[in-house]
Amino acid sequence: MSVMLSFQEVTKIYPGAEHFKAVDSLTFDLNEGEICTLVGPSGCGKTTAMKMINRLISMTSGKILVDGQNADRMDTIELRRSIGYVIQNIGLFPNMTIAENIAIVPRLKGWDAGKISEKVESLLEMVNLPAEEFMNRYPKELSGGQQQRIGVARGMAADPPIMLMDEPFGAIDPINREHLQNEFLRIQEKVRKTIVFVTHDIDEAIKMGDKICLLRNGKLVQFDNPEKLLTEPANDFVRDFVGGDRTLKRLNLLKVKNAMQTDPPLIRALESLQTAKGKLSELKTDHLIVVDENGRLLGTVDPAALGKTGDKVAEVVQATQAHIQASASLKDGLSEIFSHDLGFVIAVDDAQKVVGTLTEKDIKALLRK
Amino acid sequence: MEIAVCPSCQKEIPETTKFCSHCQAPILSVARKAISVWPWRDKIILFATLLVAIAFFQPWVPGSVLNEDVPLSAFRMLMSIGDLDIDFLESYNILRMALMVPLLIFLLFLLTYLRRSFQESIFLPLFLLIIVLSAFVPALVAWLGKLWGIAFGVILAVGIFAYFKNVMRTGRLGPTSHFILTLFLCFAIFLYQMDLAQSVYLKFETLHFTDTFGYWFTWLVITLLLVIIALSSLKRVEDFWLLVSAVILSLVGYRTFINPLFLSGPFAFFADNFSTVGEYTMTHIQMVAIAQVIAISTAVPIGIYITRNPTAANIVLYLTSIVITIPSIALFGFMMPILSTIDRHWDAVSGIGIGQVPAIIALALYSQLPIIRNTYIAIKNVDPSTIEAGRGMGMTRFQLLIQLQLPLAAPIIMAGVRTAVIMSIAIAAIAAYIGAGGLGLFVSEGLQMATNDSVIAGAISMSILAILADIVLQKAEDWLTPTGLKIVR
Repeated sequence: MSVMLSFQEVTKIYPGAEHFKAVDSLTFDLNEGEICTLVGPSGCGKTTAMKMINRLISMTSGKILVDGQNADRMDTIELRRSIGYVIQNIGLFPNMTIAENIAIVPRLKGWDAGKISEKVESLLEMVNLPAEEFMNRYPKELSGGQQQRIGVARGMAADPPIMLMDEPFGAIDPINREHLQNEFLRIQEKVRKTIVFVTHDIDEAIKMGDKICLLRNGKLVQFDNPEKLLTEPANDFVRDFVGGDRTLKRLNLLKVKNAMQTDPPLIRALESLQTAKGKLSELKTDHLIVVDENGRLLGTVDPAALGKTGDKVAEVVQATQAHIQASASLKDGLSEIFSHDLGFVIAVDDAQKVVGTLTEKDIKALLRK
Repeated sequence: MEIAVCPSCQKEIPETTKFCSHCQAPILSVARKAISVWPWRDKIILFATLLVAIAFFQPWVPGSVLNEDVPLSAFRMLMSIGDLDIDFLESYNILRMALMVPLLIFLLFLLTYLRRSFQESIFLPLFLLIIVLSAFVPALVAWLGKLWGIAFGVILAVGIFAYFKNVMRTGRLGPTSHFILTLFLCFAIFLYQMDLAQSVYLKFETLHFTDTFGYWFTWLVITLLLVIIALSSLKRVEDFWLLVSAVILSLVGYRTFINPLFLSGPFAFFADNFSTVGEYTMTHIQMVAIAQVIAISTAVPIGIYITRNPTAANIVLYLTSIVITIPSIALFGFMMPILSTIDRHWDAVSGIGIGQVPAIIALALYSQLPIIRNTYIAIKNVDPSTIEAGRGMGMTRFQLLIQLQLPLAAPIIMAGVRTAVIMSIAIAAIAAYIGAGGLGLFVSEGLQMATNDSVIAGAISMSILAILADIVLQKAEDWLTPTGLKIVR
């Protein structure tokens, strides 16, 4: 992976506030296709740092390399047109239709009309807004969430390798924000842009970032991946900023598949009750997980069920809701454990195939590692 | 209850709906009944035509010319026809003939609007009734001044009251009302015909108009026609009330508005000086228009420039505020010596020191403040996040200005232009004093010669000009406002 964006000793001092460095010798490298969240308390210089990339704010000293080139030496207008820009207040142009808004940078770059309209349509599809319905409407006719999607689509319109996002979901209600975040991550899976994402919300930073850049008073406090930031905070400030519930936050970050036991007590539905009883006492567990021929989850059986009359497991199996996708977060997994009295949840893959079990103990063991 | 049938799909529909419940076609016969559901255009046309129609029957000149205390209506004129001076009548009738044009337009409008079921319409009789009543009333007023007139009025009032009560009770118009209305109409048409005939036949001094068979024949035919129309139309009580209220309204309008308007001096003045009014108006418009073109092409760029330079903004806004406080007469006077210097340099034969040039320069100067200030404020008020987004996406300053700031600022800039234009129309009146011409001449000449009519005529025409300019510019503003800004959520 090549370095796409590199901050080298970048410093910003605002005129009239010479004693204070808004950004102080900021140095970090960002690889291609990664999201870096700039996070910190307000006034920490995160927005300043971001705006220096496309030179909306000029730096005092240091240099920023964009794809190996010194941003300061590049033509400002060209530089900005090659970097996607999405801001908190969205800033859609109210006098233009949605299609015209998205097409701004391609038009500035002089693409031909056919290519532009193709791009606009594909971007609208990408952000889940049907093109024919939205293309000719005006920003004022859209809800806040829809506008922000258009903002994101506009930022991506000219296929910039780098995107800058300044609290893009800041002005949106929590439910929609969650939704947009997930949608954005889904899009990012496909497009793999290098993204600098400014936020003041540590939860968002952890969720969105491949790397987190935690700033305080213009200085870089810690630059790490989210997992490291949560497990190994560099100092008390980071610990405080991340919050007392940082262990719980890790649950958000970790997946069920990281913690689960991969040898679940399985029994096929067509086997006899005797075999099941034998297996139960052999494994010393309270439940067996019943699967079909293809290993897909059917339910569970417990000793009480096995005491009933019948000869095949299929006749006594009890359906269960205590299952979760192995790719889900541990937070959801823990929630599932608590909401069923089974004592564990069954992890399944996309095809409903049982791949493991998850108990509180497993989670604890992982977090302590 | 009558059962209505939709004219386009022939299915039965509730009587009072405006749109067919099956095929959604508008039901004209219902829509036509209440003025409230008319389109605005038609309401305005009807109103305007009523005014014209009423004026048609009003004496054009003050009663004093004829040594009469009450204004002359067609009816009165008829009574005293022998005493009238022919010369006066001729000019008077030419004006009336001129007024026939809008009347014919109105008839045309009625015919097209009501072409699908002409006989259902109540408008023609309504229209005629109003004309006649407005002609009849001044005479009635004169009669009522006498004692027997009062008695007559009381009897009439009691009769009408009893009749209305009856109509209200039964819910429909009976044969009596048809009879009364017919009588009324006949009388109206008689007067109408008299008036027309009088204007035509009086040209031939030897011929007395009632002597001709053609006159009576025409009268009879038209009368019969209109009676039939009236009888077939007035079926419902609400139609009648509509008619009555229209008559009352028109009478009120006549007493308070039309009568003094058409009898007063300024309108007589207009009629006498028709071509001069047009000429002065054109000069006035020309002056203001040139000044505005200059003002817009200087003030908008200045307004844009000062948004980028706060120091300049302070100075410019301060200066323009000072300019606007200079009394216009002083500014014109101030302009003269400066421009005369240029004249001397150029050895000009007809100099620019007085006349339209200083007037236009002064108007352009006055217009700077509203336009510069509105441009400045409008561009300053464009949402900064929009601008930031534009900058961040790599728009140049010029692109930001053309694609974003100016379209968003356009409505407010246009509002400034509107203010400037209205102001200029008023200030241009003063320019008449430095020989620039325009409608101000009526005022200045009127003041010098103590002719109030002239002053009022000038003032009225400038007001009308200002109102018209405002309407036109409002349309322009609407047209310039980007569609995306007009949306209200």
